[in-house]
Amino acid sequence: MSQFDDNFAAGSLPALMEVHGQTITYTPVTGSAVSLTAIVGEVNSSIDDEDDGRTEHRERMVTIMTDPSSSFGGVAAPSHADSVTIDSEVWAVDVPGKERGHSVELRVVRTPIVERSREGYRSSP
Amino acid sequence: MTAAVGNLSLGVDRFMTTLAESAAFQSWTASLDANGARRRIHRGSRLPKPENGRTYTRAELEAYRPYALVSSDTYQSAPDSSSSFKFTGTVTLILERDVPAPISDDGAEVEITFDNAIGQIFEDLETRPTPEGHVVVTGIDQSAWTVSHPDVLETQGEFQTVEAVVSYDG
Repeated sequence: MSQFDDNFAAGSLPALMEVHGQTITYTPVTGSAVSLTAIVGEVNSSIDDEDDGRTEHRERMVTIMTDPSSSFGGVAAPSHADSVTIDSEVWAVDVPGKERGHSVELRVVRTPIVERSREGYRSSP
Repeated sequence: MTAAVGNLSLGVDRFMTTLAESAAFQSWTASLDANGARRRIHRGSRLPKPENGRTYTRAELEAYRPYALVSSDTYQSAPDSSSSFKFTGTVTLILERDVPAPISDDGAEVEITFDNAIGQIFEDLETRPTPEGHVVVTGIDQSAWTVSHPDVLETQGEFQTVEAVVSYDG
């Protein structure tokens, strides 16, 4: 870890967590759910056209601590297929990022169906 | 809904009646009778729109399942005699169910229970008597079934889907 990461972890990140953090629930695919503080990013949304309908692809970035004993809570080894609950919505952990400064940024996704149809129902735009 | 008129629409209606009367379809949908099974059959190329007008909730999708989605596909007619025409056609049939939770970790069981259920429905369609108001099924062309991706579990549930093109004599 770089000096910058050390300084960030020691000073800036706790301050950011204090100001911008919100409580979420982290549920590993095996094990118990834990409540922790996270910085939750804005939702980016797009519609995917598929053979059998259309799906909304929603994703956002979530920053959590990697030290479970931190005052903000944390997860030592977040992984794909874990999930997080944000404001009562469950999001799948798609890509856990690289740990940096005792924190990790997760890309979490939700993919609700917009339209369910037979194959080839919609013509190409 | 507008009533079906004309052989193109009536063919689909009659297929839906035939499907609803299948004992295997009634069993698959846990329906008491053909009327109950009929409520599990949706006519059209897509499910009714989501209740919130935007996206389906998982609970909404799970309330639909198990279901059949039936739509008109192709239509052909030819003279039957000097005064009448005979028509044939195909419908697209989609069957979808939730993967039963107790077996969701057992891939072989997920597969065989689905194959058993769908296969028995197909057998009923192929063999049952076809009184007035029904169609004679003359062929079934089923595509490979799919199971949902784990990443959509929270938003769509875990489900299996198969699509088939069913040929009939009207």
